[in-house]
Amino acid sequence: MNVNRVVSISPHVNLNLSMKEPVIEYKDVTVHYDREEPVKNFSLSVGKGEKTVLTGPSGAGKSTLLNLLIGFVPTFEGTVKVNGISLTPATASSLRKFVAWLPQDLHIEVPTVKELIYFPFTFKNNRDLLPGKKEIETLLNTFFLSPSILEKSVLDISGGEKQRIILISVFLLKRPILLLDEPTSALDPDASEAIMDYLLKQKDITLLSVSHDEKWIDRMERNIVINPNSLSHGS
Amino acid sequence: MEAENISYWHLAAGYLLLLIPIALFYYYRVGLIRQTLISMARMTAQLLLVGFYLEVIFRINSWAINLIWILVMIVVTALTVSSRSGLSRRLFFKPVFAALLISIVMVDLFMVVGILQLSNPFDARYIIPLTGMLIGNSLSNTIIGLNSFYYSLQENKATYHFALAAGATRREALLSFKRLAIQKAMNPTIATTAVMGLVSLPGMMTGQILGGSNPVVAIKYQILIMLTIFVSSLVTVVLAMNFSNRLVFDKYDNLMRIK
Repeated sequence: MNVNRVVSISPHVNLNLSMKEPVIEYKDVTVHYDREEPVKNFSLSVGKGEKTVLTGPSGAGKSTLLNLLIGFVPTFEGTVKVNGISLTPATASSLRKFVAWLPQDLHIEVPTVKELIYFPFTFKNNRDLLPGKKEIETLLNTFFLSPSILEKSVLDISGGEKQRIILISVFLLKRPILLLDEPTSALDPDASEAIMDYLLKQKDITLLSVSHDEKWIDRMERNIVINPNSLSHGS
Repeated sequence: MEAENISYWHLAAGYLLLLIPIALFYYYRVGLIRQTLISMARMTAQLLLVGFYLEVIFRINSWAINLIWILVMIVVTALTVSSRSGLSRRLFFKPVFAALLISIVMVDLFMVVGILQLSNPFDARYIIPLTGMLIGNSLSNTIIGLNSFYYSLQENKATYHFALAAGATRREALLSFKRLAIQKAMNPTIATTAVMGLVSLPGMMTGQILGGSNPVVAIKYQILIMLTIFVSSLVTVVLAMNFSNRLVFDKYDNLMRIK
């Protein structure tokens, strides 16, 4: 059964409705971009294994909140913790090892689909995680892709296929925390459903996502609605 | 045998050719007329000044003055590269200067000591024109390389961050951007080298032949200069990217402002 909780908090209240051990924590976070403050006094805890979505209008600071967790928003006040480790310049790279992050509009310049899947495994830190052929094929089948797609040029596949391939690559990293920004934006309903089914079965994976996809929002356990400027969260 | 001299009146007539680019720039509203006129005026003034200056330098032929002159060339080039790349002069001057200094000194020494085996390695007649050719070519390659590297990194920030978030070190995450920048920077030089002698007659060789040198000797020098231009340009591009990398990323490996 899905428990879809739409929560409401004021900017100064710590939102910790989770009874589970928190693996993602924002405490009184304010982000500065030049003279703007896209995020102001934001607090949130996400428990282990929880599937959470941040929703709200464009420009409300949802993607900024994801980026913030892995050090891609360098100027902020407050505390950000992942797996109990506070984000600082010294901890950023070790903290990133717990996380797989998928941004919007990702263009990786590689010739073939196979190289696109293997892209994260070209890095020294991930060489031990190199997935086997069988594992890749199983995921391809799960998301309605034929294994023959691996030999195709990246230029010859559709936007939806590309998005599924990158998601597969992210899943293969087997990180305990996933940060996904609009993961179903180019997918048809069946493919979206398959991705959701797969993720919801992974009980140990903590998911913090950003989405405008109503079905995705419906199936997540928590929906944090973010309004611009005030950053209040309405139900 | 010396080349035919050109009278100043005839030289001035050469400027009439500029009417064509000015007309084309005007027609297409390219907005480059002012810059063209300024660059042509600068080129003329600089060359006349250098002509006069080189005459003095060649006559004195002091190693110290020659080295100072080379240093001045490197400083001016580093300033030009950082401003013409569309990057912050304040941030990029030092790394570009260091990159040029290392590559030029390395290639110059190899050429004058290792290959030409000159009794006076800092002889003005050799070291100044050879260094000038190396620096002149490194300038355009470095502008293309730095511009391509930093602007593609800025435009594809998500790809760079994706790699970092997936566990790449900064060096690993930057590798594909560096690869592309090196390709873009070196492709024109590879193309020019491949058609050398067939399509283009290089300036140095033409100059030597016009100056009365034996064409075979001129060609040997030209081969040497093509090899050294290639090496110094590539080394400058790679070092300039790597040295500047130390200054433009924050503690989280995010690219800071580059303009």
